[in-house]
Amino acid sequence: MQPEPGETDPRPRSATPAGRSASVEPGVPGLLRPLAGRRADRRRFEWRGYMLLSPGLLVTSFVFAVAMGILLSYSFREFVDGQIQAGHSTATWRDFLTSSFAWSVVGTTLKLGAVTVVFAALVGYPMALALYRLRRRTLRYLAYFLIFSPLLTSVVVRSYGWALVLGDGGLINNLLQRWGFVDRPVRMLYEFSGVTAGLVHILLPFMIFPILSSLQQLDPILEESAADLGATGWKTFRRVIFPLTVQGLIAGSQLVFALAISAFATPALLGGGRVQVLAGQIYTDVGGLDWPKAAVGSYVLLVLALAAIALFSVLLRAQTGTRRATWEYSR
Amino acid sequence: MTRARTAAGRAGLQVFLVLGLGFIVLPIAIVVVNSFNASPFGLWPPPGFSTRWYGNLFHNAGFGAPTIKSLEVALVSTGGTMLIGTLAGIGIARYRFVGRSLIQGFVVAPLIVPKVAIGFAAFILFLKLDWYGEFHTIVLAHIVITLPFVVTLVVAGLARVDRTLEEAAMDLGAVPRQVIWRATLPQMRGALAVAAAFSFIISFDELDATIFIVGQTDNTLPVSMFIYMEKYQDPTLAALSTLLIGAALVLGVAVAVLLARLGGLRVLGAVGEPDAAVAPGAGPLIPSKEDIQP
Repeated sequence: MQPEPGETDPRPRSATPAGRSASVEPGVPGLLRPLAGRRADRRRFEWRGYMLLSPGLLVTSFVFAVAMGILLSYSFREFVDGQIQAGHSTATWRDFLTSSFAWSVVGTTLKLGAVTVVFAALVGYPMALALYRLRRRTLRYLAYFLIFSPLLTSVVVRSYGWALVLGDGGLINNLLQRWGFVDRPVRMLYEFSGVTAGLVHILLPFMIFPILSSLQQLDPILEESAADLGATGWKTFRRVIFPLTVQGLIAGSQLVFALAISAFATPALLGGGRVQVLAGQIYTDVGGLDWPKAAVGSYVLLVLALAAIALFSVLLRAQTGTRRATWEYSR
Repeated sequence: MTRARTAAGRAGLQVFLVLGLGFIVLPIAIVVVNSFNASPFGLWPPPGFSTRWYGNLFHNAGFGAPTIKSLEVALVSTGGTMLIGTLAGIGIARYRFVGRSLIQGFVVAPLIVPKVAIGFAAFILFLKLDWYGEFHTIVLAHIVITLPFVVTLVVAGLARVDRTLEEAAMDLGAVPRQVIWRATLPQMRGALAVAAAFSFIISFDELDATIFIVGQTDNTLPVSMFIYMEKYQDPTLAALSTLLIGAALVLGVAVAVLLARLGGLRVLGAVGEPDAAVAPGAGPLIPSKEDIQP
């Protein structure tokens, strides 16, 4: 399939071969030149480009980079007797890395991320597939709306909703008791399970999005040929559809994991202090004026997030081989 | 036999979809019902119905000032981030210079840093500058948080602009400024509208970073809701949430209609771009036009 005329790849990096930009005659304002690849940047100093980027650069440098730098320097201070000490030391880092409590918090955080990813994938993949298969446009629009509109409501509202569903006197316990499954309420609120339910609910769209997108890049011919060759629906799924969409699943897991381990509000509200995650610990430490410890916690969380993103990227890259073949085929 | 099994598989998928949608709607629906619950403990099923929580919301709960503050912060930071982000997007998409992709990476970097860390870092910075608790600190933090989305959407939108229209405008004698205003920007109003809606919502709902930088008393709405929920569980919060859900629904429908009129979800182009930046090879995360458009 050839791309339609006038249709450009939305990803600038792969948009134009670098050679083409060099052929543009001088004097044409940069604004009207074709999109450039990274190599076209070499030895070029278009001052208007720097000018246009400078406000963003300024705000991000100041409020983000400088602030993160100060934070890093605080992680090398020490909090003793209710006071942040003047000199720099690695004591806070050492304390953190040798504290079994800190490691248990890190463990809970990672476990929460992993369990959330697993459940979001188990719920999200079939939903994305069903959505992809949905023929009726009205129904599809309705489903899209139901899936993505919760993103517009505050995390606090959704956590509150889960508190009502999971609480001891809440909906689920009421039904369980009325139907005689249990005698006394099952504790879900202020437990790991409750926090997981809330996080899966909040992060589910981030799982469905990429999976749906990779499903829609599938060439329908593949499925037809599989059927023509006598494959059952399940076999087609297992041998054709799933292998070709697994990179959507990985991309979704990457997003969900990174967001789940840095989640603050849901573990705080649905965990009720019994589910200690790093983000909540940072908040508690700041409240206790122990900035150095909170700074160390922040950087540990950042490193975890970066490591997770890198790990999923490696997984994704391992998938690209298979993917590239079909991608080129489908173009 | 095979066809029967395939049909069963499809039916099963659809049942799963309905269950999944139920899972998504359930906690939101229950908040709405609970806002009329007569019991102050959110007992289920509600022993009776009353509208007193709405009365409480408007008279005692003290959510008025935070609501206004959140709206102000969201409006101002959306204005700022749209201006800064559109300029940056044009710079990235249309100019070539040393360090371009580096700067782009830097501007979208806050996306992958946990919000709690951003908020705590900004808190220390603002405290040192003696700005703590001031209005513009929240706006600045929200600009940093929303800028990655705006820049990405603008770059994606610019990539889809039909260059022949710009060239035609040039040929007809328009100067670059006129080309931008009359040929380029009108073509990407979809992307711009979506970017503005995105950053407004993100800013209005931002909690994780904002909770560190708001002053002791002058909270934004999500922060005061968070604090209220930590202390009380009565349905006043449900009443407020119901109003917010209603507003979000109106906004959601408006965005959906806008998207449909401007050419489907495709205007979002590469929302997944920041993700693709860390994960090369990940495709655009948004359903393609072919599937969504009539």
